[in-house]
Amino acid sequence: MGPILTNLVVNAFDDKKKGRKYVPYFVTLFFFILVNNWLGLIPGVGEAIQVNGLPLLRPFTGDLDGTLAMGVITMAVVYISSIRESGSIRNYLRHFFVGSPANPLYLVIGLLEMFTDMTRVFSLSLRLFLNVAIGEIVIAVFSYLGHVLAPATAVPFTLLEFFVGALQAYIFCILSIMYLAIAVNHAHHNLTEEDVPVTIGTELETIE
Amino acid sequence: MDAVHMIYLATTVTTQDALSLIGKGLMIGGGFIGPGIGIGLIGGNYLAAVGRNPEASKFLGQALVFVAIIELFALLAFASIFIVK
Repeated sequence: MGPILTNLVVNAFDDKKKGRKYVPYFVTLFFFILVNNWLGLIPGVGEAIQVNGLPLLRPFTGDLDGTLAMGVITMAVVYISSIRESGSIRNYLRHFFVGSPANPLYLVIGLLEMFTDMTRVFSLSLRLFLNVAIGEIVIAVFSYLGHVLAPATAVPFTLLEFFVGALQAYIFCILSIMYLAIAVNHAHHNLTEEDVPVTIGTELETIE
Repeated sequence: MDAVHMIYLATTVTTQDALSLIGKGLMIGGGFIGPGIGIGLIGGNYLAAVGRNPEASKFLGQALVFVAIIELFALLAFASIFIVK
């Protein structure tokens, strides 16, 4: 898994040497999320063992607090890296706006892009949390439905959750790498008006 | 609170409970249509591409990534059951 992940991270960037700087963080993140997701499927973890009415063992990614923390730190890495690669905060904000921000169309598009950037924290963390927590609920429901045969009825869904846990770890890492690569690759090329393809305002050619 | 009050509270359904139940049902029913159609479209296009050109099966990983991105919205609808009182 190591060389696969390393190649995944490094190939996303234009400049391979820059890409190598970010490999340790993403490989750590992947294995951390993977192991936490899988540990939540062990039979003792969850509502089964309770101390004072609260469960004793919970997976870290099964709590919104945990995944929100991971999402915030990942997006902090993305923002700080892209600000550092662009040079200053003004340069970083400049690359949201194609051409000049005085043009109202490009201003609105730029603001929309910034808003999408900010919702990425919640989308990343909610996706991971909901997949893990709802997986636990599904296993609990199907264990309840097979009263005596609970070990048999819960097996298919535990296997599903193995697959979903691994997939969600992979997706968290792939999406963070994509966000980072987009922010860092464009750092040195400010899009200008000439790069935007002209689609409106040209004269229509009449077909003879 | 004497026995009559307790029996009353245990056996009646308030309007709040009934309306919240209807609301949850509507959320689940309407919320799973979109992701179901979306994931079906992704699967169909993937199979069509593989049928046309068997070398396209290397895109399975990418297809599953899109499935997980879409599934976020289905899970948001499912999670709102536990948030609505």
